[in-house]
Amino acid sequence: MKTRRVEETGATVLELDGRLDGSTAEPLYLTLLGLIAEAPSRLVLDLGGMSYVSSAGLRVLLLAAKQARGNSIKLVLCALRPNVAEVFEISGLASVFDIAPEREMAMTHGGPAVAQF
Amino acid sequence: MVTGQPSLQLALGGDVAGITRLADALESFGVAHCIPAEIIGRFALASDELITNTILYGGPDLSIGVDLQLANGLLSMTIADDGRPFDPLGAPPPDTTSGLADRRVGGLGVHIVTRLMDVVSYRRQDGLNKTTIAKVVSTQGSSE
Repeated sequence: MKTRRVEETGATVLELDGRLDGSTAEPLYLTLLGLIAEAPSRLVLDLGGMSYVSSAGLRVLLLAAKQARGNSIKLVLCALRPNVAEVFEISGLASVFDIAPEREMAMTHGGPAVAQF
Repeated sequence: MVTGQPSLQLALGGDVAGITRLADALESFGVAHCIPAEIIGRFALASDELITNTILYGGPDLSIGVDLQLANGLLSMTIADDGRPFDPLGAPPPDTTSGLADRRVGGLGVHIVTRLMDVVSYRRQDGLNKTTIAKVVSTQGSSE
């Protein structure tokens, strides 16, 4: 898995590319914790390039989401591929995350950073 | 082995590198036998979840064997390991309803497997754990 960080107005975006599984989950988690420590108001994970996710990957995304919420950071996932979206769906996680269909929508999805908590 | 039905056998060690090797082999098998990529994707994920569990509970010294068979429109895979008896289906069901703050992710892997497949079964046989997963397949581009 490769990641690329992009700074947008009002948000830090991390683009994920490749497989998120048992061998790539831990490095990604460390990257996410690093970004959360910088306390952006909004952290967008662009999953458009993510071809695969297993429960090991879901686990670290969930941990990161909890961490972000604890730090009043709005974490939004976007651009899930259909096969990835299906795994979120059957895991019952689609409703737990803030998920936007496209990246542009993720910039405003769910309103201001901490309002809905 | 005399049926002439498409099949694939793979021996893996107890490390996660085998999972991507299996995923690659599955992809080639799918292309060779005109199995929809969506189905192959399901088997790649289901086998990842099961083998990851097996390694987690059984340790790195395991021998894991994978046997994939396509017969009568059913694609089935049996994953066998020589670890101590472990029934992956014996775990309690996961939490799929609570909110973010309370959400736990234990047991999610097996839940995913049961949702992806038509059949999931476990048996202890000949000193091996054997988990079989299967799904009905309609192959593309067959001659009939």
